[in-house]
Amino acid sequence: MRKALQLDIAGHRLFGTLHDRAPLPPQSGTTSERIGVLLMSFGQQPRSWVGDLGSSIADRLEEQGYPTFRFDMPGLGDSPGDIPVHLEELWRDILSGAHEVALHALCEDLVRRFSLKGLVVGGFCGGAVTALYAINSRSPQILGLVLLEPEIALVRTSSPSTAATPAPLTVDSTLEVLDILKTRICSLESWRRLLKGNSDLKFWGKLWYGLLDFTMRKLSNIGRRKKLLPPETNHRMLNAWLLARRLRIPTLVVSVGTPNRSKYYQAYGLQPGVADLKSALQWIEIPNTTHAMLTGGAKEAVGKYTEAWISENFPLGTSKR
Amino acid sequence: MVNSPPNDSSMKQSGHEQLEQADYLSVDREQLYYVLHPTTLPLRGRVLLAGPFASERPHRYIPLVRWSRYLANQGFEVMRFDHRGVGESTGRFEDYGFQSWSDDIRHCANWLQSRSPAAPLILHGLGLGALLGDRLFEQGLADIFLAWLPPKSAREMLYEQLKLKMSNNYTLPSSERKTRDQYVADLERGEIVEVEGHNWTPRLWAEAAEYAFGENNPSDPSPGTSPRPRHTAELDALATHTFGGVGPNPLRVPGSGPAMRLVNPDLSQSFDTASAWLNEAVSKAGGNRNA
Repeated sequence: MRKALQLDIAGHRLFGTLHDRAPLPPQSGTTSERIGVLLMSFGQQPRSWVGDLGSSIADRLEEQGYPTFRFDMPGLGDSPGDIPVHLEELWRDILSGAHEVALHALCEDLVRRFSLKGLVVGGFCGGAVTALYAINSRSPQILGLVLLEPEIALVRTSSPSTAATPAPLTVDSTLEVLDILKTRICSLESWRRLLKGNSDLKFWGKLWYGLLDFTMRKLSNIGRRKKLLPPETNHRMLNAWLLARRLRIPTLVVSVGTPNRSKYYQAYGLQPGVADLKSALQWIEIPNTTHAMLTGGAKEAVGKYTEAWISENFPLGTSKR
Repeated sequence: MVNSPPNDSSMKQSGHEQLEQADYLSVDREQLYYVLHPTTLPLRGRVLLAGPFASERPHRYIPLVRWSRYLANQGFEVMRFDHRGVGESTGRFEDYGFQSWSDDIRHCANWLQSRSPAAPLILHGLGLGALLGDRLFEQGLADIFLAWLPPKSAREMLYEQLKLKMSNNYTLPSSERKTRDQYVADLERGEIVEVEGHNWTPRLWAEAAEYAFGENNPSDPSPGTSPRPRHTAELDALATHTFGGVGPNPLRVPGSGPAMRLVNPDLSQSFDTASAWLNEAVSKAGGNRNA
């Protein structure tokens, strides 16, 4: 059974859907052992996703006994809000974390409102990136991640950023780092400010942290890969991924198993199709389908894998339904 | 050519968006999802917005929601919904077809019409919604009919949507290489064809033969009354591109950097034109009602 939800979250009015076999009245002040699932759409797509993949996965999870939520982020689907004119600008904003604040607040609200033990957060494409950002809150309520066709690259656009949340300084390539350093080192004004103690230490701190992070990543890649990460790499997203793995958050990745898609992930230092038990990562590839994961039986397969993985990692036996 | 995001500030200030409500209607043991956009202005009419075919729905959703909000800001109460088996409504896509989707429109129209105070009911369809609405209007449903981008027939619409299947096939090296006519032959042989995650059944294809736009002659008006207003709008290039995916991006300036696609262009010109026609039609319908 589906229930339409409208919640005031972080200054936005978000429209969503709850799939639950027997919707319980929201409780407050008590915590149950129930684990919910929150699925995020991507970009311009409403919360049922293309081909209604999102709603079909939610139907399956509901059948298994997991209350499953799907929400439209601000300005998308039924949720009011402003979005850019161009699609690529919208994508860029989302990949940079424009929905992160709303997502953190939404997760907290759902856990409290429906007295859940926690949430498994999942998403498709850029929605998977948003889902991954849930981990940045380091909330113990985020119990697992389901990343369907996660996008690692940032989108290049010909217009300035209109992201609601400014992205932190990231070091996208060696050339960019050198460029920033050269500008600062060659600037007399910069040295004068530094000697007077008026230098923007925050900038230098972030820059050196970025350089250190970059160098460490390069060093850690020795022997595994020879190429640098592509300049369009979404480092913020990869950092969240690394954090999830460090925290051993159970993570399921489902991606398209074509040679091109595999090469895409390999270019970013990932190993598609390879599970890593140490960091609780399972990665499944679905052959002979497209990015939308609908054709060639993929719609069914994605639902089955997700359902099986959630049942295995978060068995209902521990819940008090 | 400059196109800035639509200015929704007037809507926010008047609080129309805060009043929007999503819920379900019960239809034959399934849940039919709808969103109601009430208005705080004096009520001019109620608009039932029947949307496009399942595979087009995700791509037309944002402009349709913006249009609904625009209308609410003009004094119209708007209801939009998902057909059974599609989007937020429950049911398996393959269990439904053009007849049941027509029943959905009728069901929503009855619900909307039962609200008070009484106001003219406007049936407004986009794509599939226009095709189905055409027949329902001629059967007497609603006071006014406005069609946007209607396909010539249901079969033509499905044939066009098969392009999606073709483009998917051509991106996969190991996929089958069938023509659209071969898929049609499969359907006529009784096979199911999956298109963009929805299973098309032979029944869907068979039913499609019975639906063509404008095939029903407008019924003769009662003596002393004029025909109920109906209109197939000619949308400008920007609205046609946004609502129908037809033609290139009209805002694209050659040599202006990477090509970008539109997701939320300013459609106020088309909205103003359509709204002006609706206002005129409501006045006319009001005259008919009084007569």
